[in-house]
Amino acid sequence: MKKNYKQRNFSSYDITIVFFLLVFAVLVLFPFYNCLVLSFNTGSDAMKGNLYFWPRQFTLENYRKVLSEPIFKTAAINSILRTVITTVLAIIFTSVYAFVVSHKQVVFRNFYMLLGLITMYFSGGLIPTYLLVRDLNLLDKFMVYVYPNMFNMFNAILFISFFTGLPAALEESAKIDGANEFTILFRIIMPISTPVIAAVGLFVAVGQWNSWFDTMLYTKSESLETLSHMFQKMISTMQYLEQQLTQVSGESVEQLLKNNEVSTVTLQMAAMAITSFPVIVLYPFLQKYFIKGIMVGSIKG
Amino acid sequence: MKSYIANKTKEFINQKYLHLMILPVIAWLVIFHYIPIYGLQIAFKDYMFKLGINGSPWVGLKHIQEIFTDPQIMQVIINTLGMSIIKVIFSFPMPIILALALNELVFPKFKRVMQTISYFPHFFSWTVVALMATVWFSPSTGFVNNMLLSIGVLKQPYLFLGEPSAFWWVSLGLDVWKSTGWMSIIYLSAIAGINPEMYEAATIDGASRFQSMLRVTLPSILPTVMIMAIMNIGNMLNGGLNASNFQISYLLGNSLNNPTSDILDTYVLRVGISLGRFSYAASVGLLKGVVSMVLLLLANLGSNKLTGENFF
Repeated sequence: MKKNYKQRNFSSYDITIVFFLLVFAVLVLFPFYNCLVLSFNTGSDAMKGNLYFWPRQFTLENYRKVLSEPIFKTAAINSILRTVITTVLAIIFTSVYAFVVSHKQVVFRNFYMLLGLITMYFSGGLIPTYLLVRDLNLLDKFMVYVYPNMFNMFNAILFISFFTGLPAALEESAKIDGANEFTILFRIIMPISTPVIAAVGLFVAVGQWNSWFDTMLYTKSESLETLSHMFQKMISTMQYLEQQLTQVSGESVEQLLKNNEVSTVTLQMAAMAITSFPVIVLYPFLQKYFIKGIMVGSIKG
Repeated sequence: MKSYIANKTKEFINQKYLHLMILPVIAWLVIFHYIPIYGLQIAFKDYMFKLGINGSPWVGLKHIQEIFTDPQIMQVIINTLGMSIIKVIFSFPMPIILALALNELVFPKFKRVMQTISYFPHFFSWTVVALMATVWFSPSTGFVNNMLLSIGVLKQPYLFLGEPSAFWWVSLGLDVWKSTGWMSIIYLSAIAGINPEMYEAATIDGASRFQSMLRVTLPSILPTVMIMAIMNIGNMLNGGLNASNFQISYLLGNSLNNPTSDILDTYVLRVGISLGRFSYAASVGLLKGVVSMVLLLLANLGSNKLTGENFF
């Protein structure tokens, strides 16, 4: 096979495809790369613009400053906590549901299944959900990050299709040995379910890490700040400044830039890079799992 | 009948651990999904904090009627539809094109690297994407304006995030950037399922590779394309399956682009949460949900008539 494609002649068709995909790759990567360049440049120099491929004045000061910021620490701790706690609980919750539903002979099985499936098509929407969270007394509490995100039918379907593909003998032999269902699920089934756990774990973890709307809607305290939500505030200040910039011209622009320290842009880019780092480093290794996960989801859905 | 119930009861008791296990999940579903669905009734009530959802008085279709007389709503609906329609037209085909191109690659390693790169933007938070967008499009320092100025396309910096006429296209561009690679996974897996003999047969018949792509690959993944199209149209008002409309409009909406960036979701949030008009906002949300459901059913019907593919 390998020899085969080495011996082939490359037609103009191949070259066109490769060229098209290289352009695509540049369009995907360059905008992010450009932001990384900014994060390694000094703030005052970045204001001169025309930074493309390499920092003009290299510095690590932006990163040092961001990492020493107390609010950044708080946000990082909250983001890590909500991600770890919710991911673990969601895997337990989802697998338990899927385990029960994947037993065909269970009384009420169809009812349980239907209760889950309906949630894929109907939801109360923003306002009733907000009222529920308020009535549950979860406003401005850390657990508002955890409870509403513990289960998701799409993920449950991934687990169900994995469990129904397992040999039935596995469970039967354990039953003969006197194991109850709890033991069977957590001691026998879960240890061999790494592919689906990895896929669902990644989906939940990324969702949690990137979530900002719940922080904005449900919390007020600074002690509940999360990384992804921090950027929302930065956007509003950025836009305010940009608007001001357009209303003045010439020398006063320089003045305004100095007064407002728009150079925080480089700090923001450093914060952005630190926040995105864990996910970007992790996802290539879990690629084969989530590809399978999406495929199963799309077939069943 | 009696013995049937007795049998089932016996079975149920035998399975007690299973039912015990699933109980917390069922309770969770009821609390976090069915109570809000039940709470939607406030769309037909005058919700008052003191009286609660159950105690508030019924007012029938008052709020629904109010929507149609709301002077602000027309622009909001136009924006929602405009943004949604250009996303269905331009954003939906992108992953198909990418998947077809990746499939034509003859270097397996290059293909894998390309795929990994294509998913990359999916893993960013929308807040991160929006923040980066303010940097890219900055009139003074952003590389987009800098480049366009230096090659002479623009005479003066263009306010991508301030110009109302640009906002829908910015929203489309960010949506395409973030989701094209991720959505292509589904089409690539559909392509992987095509029988290789079909290509052999096409080659024997003298088809070029481009012709094979058009005549073999594309028709073979048509069922997947149709199902994705139905789902996209069902989610059209959210901006497709990635629900990008709200994220982009909320995060990048400002007083300058407000005439084109304000959409139903941002409107519901503003009217409902900020102004506290819960009942009115809930009825706007409900109406949007109903329209989405109708769109989904219409798309399903259309697809059934055209290609015989059904989602349901």
